[in-house]
Amino acid sequence: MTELREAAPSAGTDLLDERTRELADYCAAMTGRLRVIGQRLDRDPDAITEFLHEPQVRFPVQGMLPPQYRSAGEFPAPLVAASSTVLGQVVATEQVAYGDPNVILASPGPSLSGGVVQALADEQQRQRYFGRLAAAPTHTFFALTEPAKGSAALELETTLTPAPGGGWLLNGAKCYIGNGARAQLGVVFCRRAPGPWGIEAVLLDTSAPGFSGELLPTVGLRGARISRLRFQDVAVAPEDLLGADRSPSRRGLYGATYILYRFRPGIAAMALGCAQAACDYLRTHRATLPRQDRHRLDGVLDRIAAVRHRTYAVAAAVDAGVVDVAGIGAVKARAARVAEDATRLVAELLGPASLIEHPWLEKTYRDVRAFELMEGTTNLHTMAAFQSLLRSRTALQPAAQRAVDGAARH
Amino acid sequence: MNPAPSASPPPASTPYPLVLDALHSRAAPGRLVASPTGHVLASTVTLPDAPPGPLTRFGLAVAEATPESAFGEGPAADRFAAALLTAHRELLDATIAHALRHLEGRTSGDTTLLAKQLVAGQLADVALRLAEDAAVPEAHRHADRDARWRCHLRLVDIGRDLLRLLGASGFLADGPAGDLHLAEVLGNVYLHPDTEYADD
Repeated sequence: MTELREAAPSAGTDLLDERTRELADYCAAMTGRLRVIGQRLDRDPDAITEFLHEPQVRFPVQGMLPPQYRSAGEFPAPLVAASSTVLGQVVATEQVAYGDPNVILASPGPSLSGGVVQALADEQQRQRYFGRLAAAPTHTFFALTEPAKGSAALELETTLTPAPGGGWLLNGAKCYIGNGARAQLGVVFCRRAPGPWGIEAVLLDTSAPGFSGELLPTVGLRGARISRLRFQDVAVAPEDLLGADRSPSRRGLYGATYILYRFRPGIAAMALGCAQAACDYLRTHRATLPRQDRHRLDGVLDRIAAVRHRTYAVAAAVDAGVVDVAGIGAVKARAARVAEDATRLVAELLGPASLIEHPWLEKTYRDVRAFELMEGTTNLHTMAAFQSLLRSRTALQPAAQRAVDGAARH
Repeated sequence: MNPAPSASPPPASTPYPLVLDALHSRAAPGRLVASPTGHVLASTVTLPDAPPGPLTRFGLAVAEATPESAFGEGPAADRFAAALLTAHRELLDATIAHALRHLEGRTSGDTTLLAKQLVAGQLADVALRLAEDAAVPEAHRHADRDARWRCHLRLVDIGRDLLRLLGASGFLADGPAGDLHLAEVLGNVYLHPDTEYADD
């Protein structure tokens, strides 16, 4: 629906090849319908079931599925393949979020848990997981964050202990888990033994006795269905342990970080899509701005363009096998902030009562605040950026100076 | 419309929509104050017949002004605008107290989040900015609509920084985030200094 958009979706991006630009344009054509569905989801997040047959809802998850589980012939195969890379996911997600971020988050599909399964699972586990997703619309979850510890994977307290008759028992709680309470299947990170290599990832069917989930009321992004989960003596069979045939250092914690680094640029992309949409909404509804206001808007647009460029760069680097942890965190944090700033500015420049007279804006104004807390807060990423700064400073110093500095610290 | 509630100040833990009702009652006894744009915002208890909207689940109703509303410029509108800013500031005060408790209960490594220098500094900065805002002389704060809007924007900045410190719990509608969202909406409707509308 091009009438929503001021600029071409790929404008200002010099890091995309022709196929990825085509993917961006393909997804951009979906934004009008996604916006309608998203506003419905804000009123009733479970209404997603009414839209599961629509291509705008079905396409975005295709690239997250292994090729053999994708919908054959429904979508252009080259574009689905393009959307399966980290950069492709970022480009597609930004456009989809420009329409509405709730739709992709509310949709059944693999979520981050599918990435963990792809990274860690054996063939039988993959068949079980993706076969179920292919057979019927299935919501899934990725349960890492805990009530007292946040998303600090090394400190998680949910336990996996040997069961008397074999297998394991899962006990603990998880908090702020997308789709947790309505999912049929998910991946839970838990502690089997002390230390970083004592963390495991297990596949969980939510019909298992001892599992319970409750929805948490959020200010916005209601389609994500943020939930609290509890596990009380939930039986975990040996075949539910993901990556059991791998060494402890190549499963559990490895699976969590592997996936978070690959999906985090996608959260940045969602925030950027919303920020750009808010700015374009302003330009549609207030065609002429006084010079001072235009400069304020242009300042935000400059920031969006800069963070978009950096997001594409870190995503392309991941595809090339280079994971810039601090850079990935930085784009997520900066994208979240610019999305908040964009919606605040647009609400101000649209004039008094804009948050009443423009329901889409009021919804977006609430939605974008979720990006700050998804996949680590700004403080967490700021500390990673600081550590990176320290490392780069050390690397730039002459060897003699590094020796002096090192001596001074002891 | 239901009868206006009593004009005595609500207790500190009162949900924001009920605080708002009390502000109406104190600014214009027996009536509801309309915004310059002709909107009336009050609790869903006071406006039970208002059409449902996205703010209904937060307990806030939006209605068109009626001939019985207290309109536009004048002492009632001025009192109401000043009271909105005071209520916003009190909400932030309460949120700082909430943040202190919340951050003390969260741990990272072998210490609480409150003991982290980064967090402590940010929380102190928020408290200092709020105290600074409270110290703006009344004559400056309420000089005109522009002055009130500047105050509102300062309070929104403080609130957003505070909620970020709460992590994911700063996004829950039944916590401070829900009430602070309403305070932001109220400012957008009642305190915005412009009189122009968007093109459509």
